[in-house]
Amino acid sequence: MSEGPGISPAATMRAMVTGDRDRWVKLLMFCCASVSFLGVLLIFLFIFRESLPAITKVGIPKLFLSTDWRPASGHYGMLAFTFGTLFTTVAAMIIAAPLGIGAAVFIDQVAPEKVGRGVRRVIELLAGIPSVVIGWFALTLLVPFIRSVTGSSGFGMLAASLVLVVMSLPTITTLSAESLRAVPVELKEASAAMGATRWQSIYKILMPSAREGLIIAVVLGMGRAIGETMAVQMVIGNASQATASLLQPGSTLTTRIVQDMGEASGVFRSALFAQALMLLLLSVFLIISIRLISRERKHA
Amino acid sequence: MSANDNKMDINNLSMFYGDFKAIEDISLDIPAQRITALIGPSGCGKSTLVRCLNRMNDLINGVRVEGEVILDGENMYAPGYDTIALRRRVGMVFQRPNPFPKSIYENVAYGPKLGGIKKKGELDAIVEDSLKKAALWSEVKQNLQESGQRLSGGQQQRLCIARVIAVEPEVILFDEPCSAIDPVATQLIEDLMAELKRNYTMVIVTHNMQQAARVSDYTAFLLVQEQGEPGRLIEYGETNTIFTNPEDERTERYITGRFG
Amino acid sequence: MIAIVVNPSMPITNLSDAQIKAIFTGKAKNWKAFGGPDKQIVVVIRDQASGTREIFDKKALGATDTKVVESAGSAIQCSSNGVMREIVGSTSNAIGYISFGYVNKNIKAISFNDVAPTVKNAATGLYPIARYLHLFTKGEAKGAVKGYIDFMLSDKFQNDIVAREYVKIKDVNIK
Ligand SMILES: Nc1ncnc2c1ncn2[C@@H]1O[C@H](COP(=O)(O)OP(=O)(O)OP(=O)(O)O)[C@@H](O)[C@H]1O
Ligand SMILES: [Mg+2]
Repeated sequence: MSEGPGISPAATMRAMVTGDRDRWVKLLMFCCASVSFLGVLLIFLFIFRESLPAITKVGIPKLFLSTDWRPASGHYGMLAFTFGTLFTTVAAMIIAAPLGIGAAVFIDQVAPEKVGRGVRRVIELLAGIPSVVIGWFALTLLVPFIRSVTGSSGFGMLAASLVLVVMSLPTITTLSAESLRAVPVELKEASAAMGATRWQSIYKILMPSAREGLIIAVVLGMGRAIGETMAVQMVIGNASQATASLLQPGSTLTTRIVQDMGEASGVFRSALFAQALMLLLLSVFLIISIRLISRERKHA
Repeated sequence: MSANDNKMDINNLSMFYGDFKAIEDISLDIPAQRITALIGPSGCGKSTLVRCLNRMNDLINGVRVEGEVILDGENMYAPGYDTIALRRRVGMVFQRPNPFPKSIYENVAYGPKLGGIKKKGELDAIVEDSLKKAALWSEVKQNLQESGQRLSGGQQQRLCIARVIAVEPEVILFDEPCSAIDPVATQLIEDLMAELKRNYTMVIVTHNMQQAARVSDYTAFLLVQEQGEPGRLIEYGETNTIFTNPEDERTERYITGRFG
Repeated sequence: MIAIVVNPSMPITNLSDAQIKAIFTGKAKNWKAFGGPDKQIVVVIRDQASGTREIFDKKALGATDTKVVESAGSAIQCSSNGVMREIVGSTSNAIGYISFGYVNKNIKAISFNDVAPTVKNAATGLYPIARYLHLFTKGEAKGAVKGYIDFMLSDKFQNDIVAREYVKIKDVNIK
């Protein structure tokens, strides 16, 4: 056996074979990545192309910045629905963010381990319930309840926002619980050793330490809320007006699209695609803000 | 030494993690304004013991304590004892520097703020004073608003000491405070402890025999004799005696580095 | 045929075509103007794809293939007769329209231009908000298709099924 730089032929073979396998795996991964990338790109291009007729014929101001939606007479303003999407989402977050983060604190910090795990399972289960079921549930219980309490029709922004609370809660809770768990226990101990009560530690140390994670959890919950369609459509009333009143019926971008896509053709159909484009822009905006938040975290 | 000179009396203390007895029947006095070192091989229960002295173990599920720890004449394990107030009197510095993800200023002001101090001027004075006592002031006075987590390891540990000093405790517990920092920073902290001795009673857990010999006045040696048994106190006395003329042969073997 | 319906608690039994138009286009907003309570009118309509809506817009609101009549922007859009009945039946100040067969005691069908929505009135053409449901065949119906049509025209089918929701063919009496 020579001691020199020579490597045995067997070893070389093995290296080649594993090298080969690596290359194949790499190629496969590359293909997968390209397929998903191309898929996304295609969807983008397709939606853009389909919304072009509306953009050119109706014009950007009248299409995106008008609340006048009367498709039968050629008015395709989507602002009422963009507003509806943002309004219901923000209203939902006002409830879901504290609720979700609170539940996360309970699961991770307050509850005995077994109870915490149980609550967590239940909330995860909630994420698995199809939205049509939640919508139906809301239609048969929530809407009549709102109706009997307020004397309104029951359908409207409030019902939609509450449905969105349910839909986004699992996302916010699980992600918040994760980011709370990621806070080093040393920090909690340090705080306790300073004579902080449990609540003071949670409020002053734990939550600020997990701040970015909590924000990202809420932003992802918003993403869920913005995209939710079926359950919202069943309870929002699908009116075409722009309204900031919780008890008035309205529409979101997604509900308007499903409500009308069956019948639409020509510019009408294209205007619905423009709404889809708007939805995409909203989610791109959310993704960018998550990026910025995480970058800030790395710098800190 | 007379009972009056003792800040704490530990009497027949045993502690269990669930069913596992980690330390057994430990009795030991902590003299006031002195430094007491706890030494012993890994796993003998030094951290467990020191965390019993401000009831930090309460945070762990399933922990049970037998015996008593008397602080200024009062048993801190008596029912109804206020642990929050206790921890403000008995501060703690941990093995890994753990400043909060806040500014240097806010780290030090954390305890006083918990204690209800709100006035900016008052807080400023406490922060400056504490940082000076922790020998960190000159290094950080220009950038008090910087994150405490951006300091070097040694600076972070001194920040943690300043943070404890800011609540004006009577006792400070150190659990291997220098094991994660370099020798120069270690030297700084040892000097600091010698300085703090005038006002504070201190307990330090250390693996470093030289450190124990250098900084402490009294030394307690703990040992687990057989695997699975609880840690017990083998010998306790003045540091000089323990290091030059130990009574127990196991102590001698340990400090001369022949086991553990 | 399509009935205009309100909540049974609404003390209104008839609306004219002009009133209906004012309500459904959103010009009229309060029941008071029509002799009802001082309450906001909740208009409930069907979705764009609905045939019921198409007929209603044409026959009641006067829309044509070239001239559209836009419904009120605040109108609730629902996607089935069942949901329509549910909403109108449980909202005291709601008004909507529904396929005649869905009318039950939870909602109240009202007269249109003083003509009650009855099978008889629809069959004679007096009640205008109605339409034929056509069966189309390719060429002369034969075989199974013929059998199906014969079945639909049979007395049994006309009595048991059609009569529940629609106007029986032998009652249709429009020129
Ligand atoms: N949270 C815990 N739950 C269960 N057992 C524990 C826990 N913490 C420590 N122990 C056990 O208690 C015993 C004493 O541990 P302790 O940390 O007090 O030792 P130590 O002397 O500080 O060791 P080291 O020098 O390595 O820090 C060990 O057997 C350890 O495994
Ligand atoms: Mg330890």
